[in-house]
Amino acid sequence: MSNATAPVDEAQPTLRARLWARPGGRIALIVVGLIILIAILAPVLTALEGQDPNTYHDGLLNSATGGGPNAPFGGISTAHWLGIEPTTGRDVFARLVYGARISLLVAGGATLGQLLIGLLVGLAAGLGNRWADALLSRFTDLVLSFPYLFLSIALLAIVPQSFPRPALLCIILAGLYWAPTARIVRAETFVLREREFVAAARLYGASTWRIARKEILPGLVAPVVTFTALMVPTNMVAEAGLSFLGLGVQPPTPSWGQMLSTATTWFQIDPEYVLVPALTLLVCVLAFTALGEEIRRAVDPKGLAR
Amino acid sequence: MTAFLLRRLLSAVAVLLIVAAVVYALFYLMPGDPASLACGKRCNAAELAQVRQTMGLDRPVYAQFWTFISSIFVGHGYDNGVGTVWCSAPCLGYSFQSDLPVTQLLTQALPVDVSLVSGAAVLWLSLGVGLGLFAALRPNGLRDKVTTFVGLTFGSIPIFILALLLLLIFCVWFQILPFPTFVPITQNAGQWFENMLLPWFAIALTFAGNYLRLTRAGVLESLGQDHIRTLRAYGYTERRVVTRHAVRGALPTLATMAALDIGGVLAGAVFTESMFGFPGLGKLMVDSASNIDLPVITGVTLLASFLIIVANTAADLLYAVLDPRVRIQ
Amino acid sequence: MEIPVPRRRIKLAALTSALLLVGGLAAACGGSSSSSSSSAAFDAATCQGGTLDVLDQTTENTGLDPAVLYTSGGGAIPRLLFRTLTTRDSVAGANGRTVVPDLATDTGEPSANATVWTYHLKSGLKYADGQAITSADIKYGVERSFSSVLAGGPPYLRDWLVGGATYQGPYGSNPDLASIETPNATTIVFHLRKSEGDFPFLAAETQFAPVPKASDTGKNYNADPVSSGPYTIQTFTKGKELLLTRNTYWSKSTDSERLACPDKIDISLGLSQTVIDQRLASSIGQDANAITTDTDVDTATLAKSASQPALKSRLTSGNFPDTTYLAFDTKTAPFDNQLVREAFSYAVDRTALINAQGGSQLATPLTTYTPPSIGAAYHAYDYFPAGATGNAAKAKQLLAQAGYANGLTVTLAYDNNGQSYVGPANASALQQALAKAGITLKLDPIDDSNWDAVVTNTKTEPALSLFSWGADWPSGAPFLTPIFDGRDIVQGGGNFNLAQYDDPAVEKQIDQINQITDFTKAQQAWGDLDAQLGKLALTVPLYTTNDVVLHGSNVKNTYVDQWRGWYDISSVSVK
Repeated sequence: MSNATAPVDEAQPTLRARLWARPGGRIALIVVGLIILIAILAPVLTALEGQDPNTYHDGLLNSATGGGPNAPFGGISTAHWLGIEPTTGRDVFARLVYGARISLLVAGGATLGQLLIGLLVGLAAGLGNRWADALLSRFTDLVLSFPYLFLSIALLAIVPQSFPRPALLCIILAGLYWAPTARIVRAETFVLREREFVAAARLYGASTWRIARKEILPGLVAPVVTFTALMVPTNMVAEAGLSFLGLGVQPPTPSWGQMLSTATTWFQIDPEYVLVPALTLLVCVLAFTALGEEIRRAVDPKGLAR
Repeated sequence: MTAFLLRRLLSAVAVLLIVAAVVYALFYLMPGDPASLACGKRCNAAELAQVRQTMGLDRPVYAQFWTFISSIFVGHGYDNGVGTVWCSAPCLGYSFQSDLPVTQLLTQALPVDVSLVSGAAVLWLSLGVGLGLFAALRPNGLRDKVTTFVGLTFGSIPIFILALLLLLIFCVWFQILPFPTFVPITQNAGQWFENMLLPWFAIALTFAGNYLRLTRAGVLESLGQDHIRTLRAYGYTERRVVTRHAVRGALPTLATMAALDIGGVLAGAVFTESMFGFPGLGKLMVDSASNIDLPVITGVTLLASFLIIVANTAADLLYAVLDPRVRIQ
Repeated sequence: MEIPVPRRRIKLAALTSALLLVGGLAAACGGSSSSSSSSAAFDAATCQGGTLDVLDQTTENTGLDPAVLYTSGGGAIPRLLFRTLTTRDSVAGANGRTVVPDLATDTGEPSANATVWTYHLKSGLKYADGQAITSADIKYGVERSFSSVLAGGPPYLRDWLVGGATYQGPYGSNPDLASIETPNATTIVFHLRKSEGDFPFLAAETQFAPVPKASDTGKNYNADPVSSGPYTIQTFTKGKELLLTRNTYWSKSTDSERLACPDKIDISLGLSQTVIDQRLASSIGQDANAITTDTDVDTATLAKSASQPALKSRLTSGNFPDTTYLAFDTKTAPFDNQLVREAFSYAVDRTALINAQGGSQLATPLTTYTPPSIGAAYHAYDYFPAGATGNAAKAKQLLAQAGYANGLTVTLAYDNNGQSYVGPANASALQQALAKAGITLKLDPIDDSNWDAVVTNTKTEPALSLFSWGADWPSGAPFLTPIFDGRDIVQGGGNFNLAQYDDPAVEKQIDQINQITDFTKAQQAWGDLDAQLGKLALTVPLYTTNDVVLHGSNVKNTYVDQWRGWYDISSVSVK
């Protein structure tokens, strides 16, 4: 496991600057920023294009040959920047940018959930007494050995459709994937609590809760941020995958995974329709992964926290 | 060693019991009624009651759970109305939707995953370790950077996209491979191989990046160590130092990783199987989840947990055997 | 009470086993031969030989028990194993919808009011084990289907036969069903509690296949049933493979409806739609001798066929009479108001719905409740012309008249299974079309596994839902009565009269038509009834589906029977 990294008050202000100083970090930051901006500005962007994600364009489809776009290259035109969806004629660009919202929302929500549960369990195990630690560590190990993809599928199939899907996805992803975070938090807490400043605080009679908040938590920021940054793309892929299996958000809400699953029947005749969501998801995942890697390097330049 | 194994065995059993209980509990929160699903579309009240009783759904949940657990060890007879079907141990229940013991469905699906993992593991290990060594020969050189970048990029492509792209390239654009369909090796080894190629590559390419990184890191780490410096001083070539000696430093991590990944794929490659329509455990899971076939879902999930736990234990053992610094107690 | 056949094209999952129509119709001797790339023309006299490969999605996990199978016209694979009293005529085209004798010498002698039906068996009929087939075996086969452990078949027998409502099957304490008489080994008489002119159609179902009592193994019978058809099971691995070889005791002289050309039939089960399509389209090696009984061509192949004549020549199209429609609960506001229902009828965009099904080759817009493929019971009408993409202006005007000048918000229930006929693609298409008329549609996805239970239960029925109906046989009766007969409103589960429409005058009309034993006259009367009910806008008919299927390049005498819309594999040849 990792060593505790640079003291907190120093690491915080320099992280962004250090990231920006690296060329890779700069690109990753810009791309991730752009993706978030696109998601936020989805209504503006689609208005600019003059389309919306739910309007059908029957006239642009060739019904006799299965409902694919009439025009070549997936029906890309000045009116439809990235073409139209087969069988509905909905605008691909509009669905893509609105799909970014779901993707980021679920990835963000799930990561936040994992972070919260992981912090709580990890801190309690790291600071609690022997029994609490043993119990919580066993529990974490147990969750780690769950076949989580299988459980997610089962859960998504069981919970009624009336339950809002994005929230459900967040809850399931958070509830099943928090264990690695908890492990890291526990290990880091063990290291930190042996430090002089924690011992000093304890001597002064500070409560465990106060120690956790004031002394340990700040020291956890670096390793936890590093790890969390890499959870975002993982969650993004998980959401897309579950939507791909037809278990994610329900139509007509646009989502990338769903576009990909439609694309499986269309990739032979309308490859453009596969490539657009596939490459978008790919760029997002790569950008977030790169950002995570860059954060790790910026926080821990010597590669000790590995 | 024995004590270690015993402890692992005990905790594995505990984990499996808990997973079984969790899955079982979940299904009692679900909206659908297993009895009416098993009975079919047009089922009158009397028929439904009969099916419910046959399935044992009229008994309390804990009693059903106990039957489930005990039948794993001693088997269980299922009264399907006219006769009794004996489901011998290890019995994981009986699927009323397909009128088959769950164990049989699992054993039918498992060969697909064994096929998938056997070829894919060979591929990802040779690709990952090979490229890792290749990169480590000239650390931080151009070829190191390119190899690492390519490996990591493939590693972060979601497998369902990679599979789709492979299909697009090899089956649609170049048409050099058939659209994969699972052919058992016992039926036709040549066709089996040909059809497995795309799924193998889809899995291997996503995994290889990790092995590349681990190999490279392990090699570079040991290159800094004393015995390597000695070897260099003797005048061994860099290639020989790296491929024969430094690679040993990466071995424990690689073996651990491989054990975990093999266990994971064996437990069901959900996306690969769905994408290519291979009837393995992953597809069985997706199908039975959409039918809410409770006994099958429980069975697949349990088997998956079991395989993952076995893989975890194997990984720990491998690490201990390969890394002399670790002592099992 | 009739049958719901919300037939589904199934791709990934959700094999709702009981309702999978296992398909295939037989070609008559020298029946029409469609495309074949092979040089030799098809000749029924010399067609014998070779192995036919069948690539299917169905897993047959529930096995092949004639009491449990729910087929239309005897199905495809079941029809190779089970002969029934009557069967569908094995010819291409509209005549494929007629019922003809199979084990019996005729399609049945009705009593004057069609409540007693008598059949005589042909002579020389034998099972695959050499035993003679008797009328008692047919009675036993029907009786078995009443047993609760063998549930799954169509519900008509329970409803029609005298005493059927309480009979529990032959395994219990009261094994005999008195309303079926077998005065001698070749005669069987059915006593019905009401007039049913369509009884010969029902007698084509597998429940009318003979089952020798001595060989009955109850629920385990589904793995190895005794064959009365031209083939018998050699090996059967549920979910994987079913291998059929010739039944040497079957004689062509007693069976004019099955050609039984191939020596062996090797059926691969549980394949995915994509795999089946790819293998049939490429037609390489043994796949040249392959066909499917349950898989429509996928959109990719359909699109490719437009530019590849060789592929196009191997595509065949057919119909199973079905209707997908918008169902209102007319007892609930706002759908108790006919103006609102008419507004919906004007607002729908049928083109978008057709595209959602995969384009105009796979579905045809429908303004009548009964589809043209039903035959004489189809009477054309379009009372609320919406045009190809909807008439929003007219719909708005009607809504204003009904008091909803500012629009209307309602909830539409649909099946969340993406492969369902009444699934999310249709719901989204309706939502955007109705929005143009000021109708805001809130979507209510219902889990596939719960769909039928929720929608067909009068207590939980949504006010507005997507629904699909197919007839078990090509006649107006199974199409109209379950949907519009007020006496068929079942409280609790299993109600298909979603409109909850009850008009005693209509019920009287239905009774009168059921007494007509002249098939053509009866169908005309059903058509008149449909045209009359259509004026009330009790449903919004949307479209009927077409089946477009593909076969390997060496398979001859392929046609899609118009009873079920799938290949008739009892007629094809690979020689």
